[in-house]
Amino acid sequence: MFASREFVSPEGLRLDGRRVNELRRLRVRSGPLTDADGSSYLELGNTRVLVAVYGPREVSSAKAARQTTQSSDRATVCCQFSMATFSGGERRRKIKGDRRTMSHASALEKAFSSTIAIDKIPPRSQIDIFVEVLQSDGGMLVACINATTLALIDAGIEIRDYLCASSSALLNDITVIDPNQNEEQSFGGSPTATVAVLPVTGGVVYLDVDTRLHIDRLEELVNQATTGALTIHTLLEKVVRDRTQSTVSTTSAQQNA
Amino acid sequence: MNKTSATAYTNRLFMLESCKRKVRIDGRSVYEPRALKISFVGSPVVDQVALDAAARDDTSLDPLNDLSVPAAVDCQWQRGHAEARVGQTVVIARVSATIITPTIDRPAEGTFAVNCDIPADMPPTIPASQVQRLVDRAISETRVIDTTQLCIEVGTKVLAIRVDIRVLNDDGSLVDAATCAAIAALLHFRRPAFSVNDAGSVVIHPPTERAPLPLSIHHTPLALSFAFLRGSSDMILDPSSKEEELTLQPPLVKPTNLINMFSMMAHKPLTPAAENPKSDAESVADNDSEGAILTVVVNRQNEVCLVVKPGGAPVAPATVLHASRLALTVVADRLEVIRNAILADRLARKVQARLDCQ
Repeated sequence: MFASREFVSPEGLRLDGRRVNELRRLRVRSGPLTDADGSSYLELGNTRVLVAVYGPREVSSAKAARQTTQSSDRATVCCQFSMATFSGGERRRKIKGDRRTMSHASALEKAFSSTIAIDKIPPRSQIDIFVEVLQSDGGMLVACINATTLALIDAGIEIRDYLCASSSALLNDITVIDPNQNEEQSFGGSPTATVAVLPVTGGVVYLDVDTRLHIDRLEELVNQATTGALTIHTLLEKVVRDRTQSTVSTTSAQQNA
Repeated sequence: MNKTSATAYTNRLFMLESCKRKVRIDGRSVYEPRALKISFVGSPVVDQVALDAAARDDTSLDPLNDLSVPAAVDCQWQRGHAEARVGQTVVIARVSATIITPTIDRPAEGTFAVNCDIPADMPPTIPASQVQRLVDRAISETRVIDTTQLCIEVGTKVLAIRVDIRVLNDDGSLVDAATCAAIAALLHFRRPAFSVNDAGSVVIHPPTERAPLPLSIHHTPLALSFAFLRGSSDMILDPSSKEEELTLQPPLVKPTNLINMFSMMAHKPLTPAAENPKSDAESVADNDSEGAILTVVVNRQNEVCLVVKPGGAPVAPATVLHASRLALTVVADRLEVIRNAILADRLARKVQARLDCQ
């Protein structure tokens, strides 16, 4: 049974061979979709997400129209979150519109409303974020937040700072960083923290700590997740810089030719 | 519908300014919660004179001395129907138990569900769906109730416990009041007793026959909200709805003449405010930064059950830890209020039962 399994070996290795403070392999592609204004594809271990960003554009959805009437001076961020039917362990037909996906969508909306430099975006316009989870293996929201940041940068939408996320879990009194699904669901749901930070100031934009843990362990859990988010920031920044570098060199090569 | 337009521009500036000076409009200090009041609907109301007289007559009326009221008498009054008041926020919670057939994958477990009803004509400052989700996560997903104790007969009959929460008035910190009402109602509730008879079948006893039993409760988590007002780096505890409004992004209507008026009221020279577009008062309002709301759910065992900050202004991780530690003391006080309310209710039942007998 899972309940009795050792999640961290005496040598300090986890079941998938990682150390406690080791992230899963992060693979990113910026701009895989040509038709979207901005897009990204991100793999965090076996969690795979695809994000497309459109906008700022004229308000089209009913939800954005409602928000626009409420605050006429601002642009609105709309997020649609969906999971592919084949994304989980079991095939599920109706995965859209349930409580969990709705809460993920609203979490992304709220977190990015305060990350996008909304005062620089034309008022009464709409930015759409479409998130598709292709495969889920824990840290779904983490992958979505990181991928969305990248897609927004790809779309050229001004943001205050990168919004980088990571998570941590407490397994048998050991804090592990970036847990996979197996670790997240161990012991009937071990304490996990999901944190999204703005790396330059270190400010926490999104925070979600779930399931009972002693208050003395909270600091360590949040700190580990923040450290993970900062590591992800360096990785993402490198991707963005490399991509910009290559774009610049190809354009200048074309101009010279 | 739109609550951001409810408070006048100058009032909002005033509240932001006073909050910077660590004073809140209702006179509280920044970390001071509003008092919690718990009452039980459908319980006997005994006036103080009768209570005092009864207590003088009989020392056995100590409220800690349980179950001296016969179940047959006790069952004439309701149980598990609590009302919580936090300032002007009023929430009621009602617990009910029904017998259902369990699901195949959990044949020996009862169910526990929380339903939070917020009237559509009273939209809270934070979206109603978010409030409902938070209450559900705080009460049912932290496993407050031991559902394995709710099994009557494996595979055929289990108890389904349900808490219906209804918001009667919203003056901020809805989640806090809702969890207080729900926990008070759950602690107060009694489920029917059941046993296996000689023939081997399960008998559910009516309350007149055998005393109903309390639910087996693992822990009692309560939520506490913190607000970070925009333009201010300090947090305030237990925000009222006016204060919650100030965490939202402001409409960009800039009544410049009002700003001048405000600076006059603040004894500032009029000319800089009129000429300089970035006067003090305006820079507060102009600041496009928004605030944030942080909800912390803790229990008496010093455990953090939930910390949720859905977005908004970035805050330092240390602030979150500080908030959690503050929440521990406030929640301990509020649990004490709930406990005292239950003890007072027990005493009232004993006294009323005695008065009825006379």
